[in-house]
Amino acid sequence: MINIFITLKNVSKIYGEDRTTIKALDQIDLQIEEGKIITVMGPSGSGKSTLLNILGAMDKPTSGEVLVDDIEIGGLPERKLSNYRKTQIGFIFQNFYLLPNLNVIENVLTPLVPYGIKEKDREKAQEILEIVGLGDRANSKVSKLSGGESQRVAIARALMNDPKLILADEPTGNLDTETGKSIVETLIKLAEKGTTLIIVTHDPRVVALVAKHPLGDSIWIKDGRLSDQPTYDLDCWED
Amino acid sequence: MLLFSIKNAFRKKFISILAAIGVGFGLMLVFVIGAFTAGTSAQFQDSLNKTLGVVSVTEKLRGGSDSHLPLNLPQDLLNTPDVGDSILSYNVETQAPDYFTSEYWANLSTFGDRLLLKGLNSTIDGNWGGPTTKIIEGRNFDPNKNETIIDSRLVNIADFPVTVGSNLTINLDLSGNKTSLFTIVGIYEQEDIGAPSFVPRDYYIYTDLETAWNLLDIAGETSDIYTLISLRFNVKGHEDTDEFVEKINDYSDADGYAPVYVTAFSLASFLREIEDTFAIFNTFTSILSFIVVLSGGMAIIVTQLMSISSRMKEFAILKATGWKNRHIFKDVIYESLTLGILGAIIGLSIGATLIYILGGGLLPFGGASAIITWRGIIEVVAYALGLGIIGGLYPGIKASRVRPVVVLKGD
Repeated sequence: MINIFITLKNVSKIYGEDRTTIKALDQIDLQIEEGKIITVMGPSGSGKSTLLNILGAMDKPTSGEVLVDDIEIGGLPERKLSNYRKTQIGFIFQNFYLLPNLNVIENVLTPLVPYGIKEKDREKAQEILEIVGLGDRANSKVSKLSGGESQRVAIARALMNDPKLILADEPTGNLDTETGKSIVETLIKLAEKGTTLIIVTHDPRVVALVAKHPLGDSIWIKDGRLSDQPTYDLDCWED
Repeated sequence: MLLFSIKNAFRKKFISILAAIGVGFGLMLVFVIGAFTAGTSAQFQDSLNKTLGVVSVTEKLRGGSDSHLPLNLPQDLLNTPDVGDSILSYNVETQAPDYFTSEYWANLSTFGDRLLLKGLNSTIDGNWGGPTTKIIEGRNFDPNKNETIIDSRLVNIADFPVTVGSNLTINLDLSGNKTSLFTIVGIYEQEDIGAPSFVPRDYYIYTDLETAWNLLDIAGETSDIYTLISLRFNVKGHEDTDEFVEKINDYSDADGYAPVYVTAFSLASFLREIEDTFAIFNTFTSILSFIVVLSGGMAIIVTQLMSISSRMKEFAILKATGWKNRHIFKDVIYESLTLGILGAIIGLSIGATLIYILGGGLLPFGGASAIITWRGIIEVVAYALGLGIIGGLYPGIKASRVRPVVVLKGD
């Protein structure tokens, strides 16, 4: 049975006022099944990140409905949005945004800091670090990590709240080819456990890698609207 | 969260520590001023309490160093209506003029030091109104036997006879034609009042009142003398003292002690006036402390503003991971509280050291009175907490209102 996890109905996002308005998203209709791995691709300024921000409840649509797991997030007050982000979403960013004064495991635990960290949380963080391949770096300073390792810490942090939806904004943007591939493979491996994964990327190789996966799919955005996607060589990362 | 915030407070280590030191110096000043104010105030209060129920009586028309009261006046005071019943004990002091002991001036250590003969009504041991003394060698003087006891400090500095059993010649006039011979029967120890060494001191030799009185008659000089009667009576407060003074003065004004008019006075009212001055001083120091602390608060605000401005993306990420506005606000407040408390620790440590140095007698001029009180410590900690909260308020609000989508745009 197909289970629709995300539904966008006629969603638009307009920035600015009067003559200086920019339509970042223009009447988007979209449905994403639960557990799918989706890449969102498009040129700069096409609306990819805006879409991600709206799905992550960091921004609200100007019009239209956004349903995630049957919750209309566009109408939630700020307090409930924080809760939604905490329980449903895991964010991964191009620039990692780790806290330099904390070590690896402390960074992974940051989402739980306001709620109090218990021993079982530490154990869980350690398990996640094992999964992302940093089990032996738990107490390392983040300033000593490579780009790929830093992104793995960011992934571990995103997983800490057991999110149903992982939103990755250019996760390979600051990484070399091999590391980028490894990160995408890690993300896919994690998503295979049932988490819905949406990756915004410029990189056709990421799209190709995801497309080869049975759960993979891709979306092309151009000028704020969904568009037919161009074709790629699915083996480009092997080149 | 507290640990997380404490770590974050030192993200910009140098600036944070500098801010904490700035706050610390402000709080140190508050602490030190508070300790010295408390010390002086306690000392003053002690003096004020000691004067409770103590009234001095002197001759009204020839007061000060010319006061010459008749020997029967204490009895008259005891018989005064509404006064005598209240008197618990009394003391009469007759201080002879300087020239009685002029022979010995040159032998005293500091210019201006005086050697004075003082007649007391009876003994000095356990004598409530007299100097804080105790006899350490020999015995106390007997009345009418030209016996004297001398200050132990003179033993070390005088080149005239100072041993028990020695004789001491007192000049009774400026030319030295009239003299009187005293026998030293005891040496007493005077409580050191802690005055700097360059301040002139009075060294008293004591005899009984009547002997001192008779010396004046022998000298034929009755004007240059100071006689004071001190009365002690039951008291509940300063008002009682004022009332007691008033009764004696009223009785004297009604010719009660004729032919000698006396005036009674108490240091209590004078000290109360000083107390008012103290209140003004306290207000002034409180304002000064407030200004100093305010500067410390500015240091925290500036440090926190600098810190959060460079960490806006970080706050945006924390929000993206589910932190609520209040969590971020709390984090910033905790950070500034950390700086404030560190400032308090610095302030209290340096302050306590300073108080020890300035108040512990390590200065060349001796110690100043200072008391470290719980109130002073609590005040500093309260200031620090207040500073932390006020200093973190605006930066905290600013940080908590960060909009992730705006801050992270373009990355």
